Amino acid sequence: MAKKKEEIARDAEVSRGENRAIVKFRPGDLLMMIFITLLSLTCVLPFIHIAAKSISSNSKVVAKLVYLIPKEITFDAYGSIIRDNTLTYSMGYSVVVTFIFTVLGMFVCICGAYPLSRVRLKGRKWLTFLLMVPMYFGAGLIPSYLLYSDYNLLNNMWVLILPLIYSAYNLLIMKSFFMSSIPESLEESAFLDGASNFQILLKIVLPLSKPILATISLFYAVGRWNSYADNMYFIRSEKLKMVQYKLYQMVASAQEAQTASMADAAAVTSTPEVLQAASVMFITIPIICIYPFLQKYFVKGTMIGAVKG
Amino acid sequence: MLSRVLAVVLAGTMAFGLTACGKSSNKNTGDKIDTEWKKFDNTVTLKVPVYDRGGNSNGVADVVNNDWTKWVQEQFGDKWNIKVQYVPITRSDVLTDYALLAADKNLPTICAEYDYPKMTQWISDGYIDSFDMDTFKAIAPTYYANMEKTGLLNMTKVSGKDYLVFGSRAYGFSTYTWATFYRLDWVKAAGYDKFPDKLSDQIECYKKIKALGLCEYPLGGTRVTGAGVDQNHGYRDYPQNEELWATTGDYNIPALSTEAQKRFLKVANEEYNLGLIDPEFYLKESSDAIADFVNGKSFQYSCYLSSTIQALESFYAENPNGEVGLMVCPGYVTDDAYHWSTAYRAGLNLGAYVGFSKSATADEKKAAMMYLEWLITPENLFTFQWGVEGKNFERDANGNPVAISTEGMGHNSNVDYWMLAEAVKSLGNIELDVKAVTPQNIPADFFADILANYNGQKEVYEKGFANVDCYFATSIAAEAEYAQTLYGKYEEYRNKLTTCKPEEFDALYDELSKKYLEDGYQKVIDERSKALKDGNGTHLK
Repeated sequence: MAKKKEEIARDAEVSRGENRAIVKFRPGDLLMMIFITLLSLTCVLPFIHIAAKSISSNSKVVAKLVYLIPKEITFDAYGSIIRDNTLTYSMGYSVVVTFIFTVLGMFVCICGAYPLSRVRLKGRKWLTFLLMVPMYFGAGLIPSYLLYSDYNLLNNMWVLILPLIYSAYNLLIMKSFFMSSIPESLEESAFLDGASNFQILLKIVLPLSKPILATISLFYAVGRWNSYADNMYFIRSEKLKMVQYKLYQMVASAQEAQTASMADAAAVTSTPEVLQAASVMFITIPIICIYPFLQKYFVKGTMIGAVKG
Repeated sequence: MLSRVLAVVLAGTMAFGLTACGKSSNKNTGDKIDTEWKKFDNTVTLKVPVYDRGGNSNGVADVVNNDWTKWVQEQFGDKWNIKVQYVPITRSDVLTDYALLAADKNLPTICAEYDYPKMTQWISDGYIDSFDMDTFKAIAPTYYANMEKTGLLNMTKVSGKDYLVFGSRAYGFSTYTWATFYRLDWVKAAGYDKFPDKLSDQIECYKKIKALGLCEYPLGGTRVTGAGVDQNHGYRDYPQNEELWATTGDYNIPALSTEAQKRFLKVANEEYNLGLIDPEFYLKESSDAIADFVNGKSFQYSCYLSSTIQALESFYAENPNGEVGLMVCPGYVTDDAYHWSTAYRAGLNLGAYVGFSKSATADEKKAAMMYLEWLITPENLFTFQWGVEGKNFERDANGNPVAISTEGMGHNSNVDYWMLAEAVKSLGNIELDVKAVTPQNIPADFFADILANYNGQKEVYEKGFANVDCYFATSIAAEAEYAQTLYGKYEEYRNKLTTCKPEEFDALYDELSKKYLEDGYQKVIDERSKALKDGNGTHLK
C-alpha cells in the first residue's frame, strides 16, 4: 500500500514536469555533489595556484608562501612576456599550424571515412584493416626521422602537419557515425536524381554530419595544440617551434638548473618560477576561454566513440 | 593463409623499418688535412653544436641566429670562406639529438660534451673520427698549448688513438663555486662563533640548535636529486687503494657496497635518528630545500655561486634580521670518531671534450680546427665572454672588466659558444674571479669566505686528499646499461638505510649491498677493473 503511495507521488512529480532528483534531496546526492566538487577542485586548484604565483613577487614564490592568494602583487612577469614578444609570436604561429592541421586532417579523415562507410565499396574490410595498422604499429623515432629527412621535411613547418593528419582513431569514429546516421536509402534516392558521389558527400552527407565534424575538428585541434614531441625531434629553428614546446623547454631548463652536474655549472641560471607561471597562464588562458563553448562537442564525440565505435 | 600473408607483410615492414635506421654517405672523409691557414677555394660549411636551453622564451636570443653568430661569421667565417652554421642541441636530451643526427649522417663537424663517458660512447658508436695530433697542433697551436698547460694531454687518446681535444677549466681541482650557506645567527645562539670544522662538533651544534627550538630539523634533507649525490670522499681511507678508487670512486653511480659509503650512510642514519633530518626528506625536491632555508625550516642551503642568488635575496627579504654564513673548508681536518675528513672530489682542469665527426670531410675538419684556434685567441675569447664594453661590462680603476649587464648575450655570458675553449670565465687571478661570482645586492659580503674556502680546498688538494676520479679510455658498456637502474635502486636503498634503527643498520647495509651488486653494480665494477688492468684507465695520483 505504502509502495503504491510512493509511486503515485513520483508520478505526480513527473506529471508536473519536475525532476525528482532535485525536488527530493537525498544523502546520496550530497555525497555525489561532494565527490564531484572535490574532483573539480583537483583541476581548478592547481590552476588558481599557478595564477596566484604568476602575479606574486619572486621572493614569496621562492619561499613557497604562495598557495591560492597572490602575495606582493606584481604584473612584471606578464610585462616581460609581452615586451619580449617571443611567446606572442609562437602563440600566433601555433594557431596557424593548428588551423592548417585541422583543415587538412578533416579533409583526409572525411575522404577516408566516407567511402569506407559505404557498403558499395568493394574490399572495404581490407582497406579498413590496413588503415588501422598504424594505430598499433609505429616505425619508431629514427626511421621516422630519416624518412622526414629524405622528404626534406625536417626543420619545416609541414613536419608538424603532414605526418599526423591521418588519424586511425578519428577515422574510425567518423566512419561509425556515417554508417549509423546516414541511411543508404537517402543516397539511393540522390543517385536516382543523378547526383554523383562527390555531390552526395558535399550536399547530403556533410550537412547531416555537423556534430561529428565539430567533434573531430576539436580532437584534431586540441591534439595538435597539446603535443610537442615532434617539435623536439624534428624542429631546430626557433621560429618554427610551437608554443607548447617552448613551455616545455622553459620548465625542463629550470629542472636541469636544479640538478645540473658540476661540469656544466659555472653559474647555473634558470627561468624564474614567476615567469614560468606567467608563461603557463599566457598560453592557457585562450584555451580556457574557448573551452566551455566547445566542451559539449567533446562529450558528443566520446559518446559516439563509446556506443558505436 | 590470409593470416600468414598478413604476418609476412607486417614482419617485412618492421624489418625494413629497422634496417632503414641508417643512411649511406658519399662524402669523402679520408683526405689528408693540409695545415696551412689559407682561404678555402670553395665555401666550407662548418657545423658547430650549441646547447639550446629554451632560453628564447626568457629573453635570450635564438641560439643559432643572433648578433654573436653573425659576429663569428664576419670575423672568422667570411675571412676564410667558411660558412659557420650552428646546430642547436636540446640540452635536456643531448643523446637523442646526437643519435638522430648520426643516423641521418648529419652530425655537426664538431661533437662536444662535458661528460667523458658520453664521448667514449660516441667514439665507440662511430660518431667521432680519430685525427693526427701533429696536424691539429700545426693548425691550432694556441689551443694545443692550452691543452698542454693542463698537463692532461693523455686524455686525448682512446684505445691508443687521438680522438679528442678539450677546453680548459680554471681551478678545476677546486669546487669553490659550489657553496653551502648556513644560519650564522643560530650557530652563535648555540654558543659557537662560526660553523665547527669537525663532524662531531657539527652534529653537536645541530643538536643544540634543535634543543634551543630554533629549528625542528636543522639538516632538512631532500630526495636524491641528480648525479653526484652522496659523495663519500670524506669517508674514504687515504691513501686510496687504486683498484677500489678506479672501480667504485666515480661520480655517476653511487658506491653502495663500499666501506666509505657505509660510513657516509651511517652518519646520515645517526642524524636521522637524532631527529636532525626531516622524516619526510625522501619526498622533498631541491626547490623545497630552498623554501625551507628561506622560511627558517632548515639550517643550510647549497648552490652554485653567481652574482645573483635568488634564494639569498629571498632569504633576506623574508628574514631581514637573519645572519648567514658560508661554510669554509678549513684545510685538511680529520675526525676519528666518524672516520671522516675534509677530503673532497677534485675535478680536472679541463672543460668540454671536443671530437670531429666521422662524416666530416678533410676540409670541414680543418675548418673546425681553425675555428677552435680562432675561438681561443685571447681577444676573441674575451669579447665572447664579456660582451661589449659600455653595454655588458665596464673597466674598474685597474682596468679589469666588471660585468654590468648580460643584455644581448646568450645563456650564462655566451658559455655555450665558448665552452669549446674554456669552461669558466676567468681573469687569471683567483681574487678577481671570486669577486665576479660573489653574490651582490644582499646585506652580507661573502668575498672573504669564498676566497678562504678556495684556499682551504687548495691545501687539501696539495696534500693529496682531493683525488680526481678515474677516467677510462674505453667505453664501459655496463655503465650505460645499468647506471639508470642503479640510480633508482640507490635512492630506494639509501632511504631505507637512513631511516632504519641504528642497531639494524649494519645487517641491512650488507643485505642491500648484496642486492645492489646483483642489480648490476658488480658488472660495472668488473668491467672497470678489466679496463684498468688492460691499461685503459688513468692512475691515481
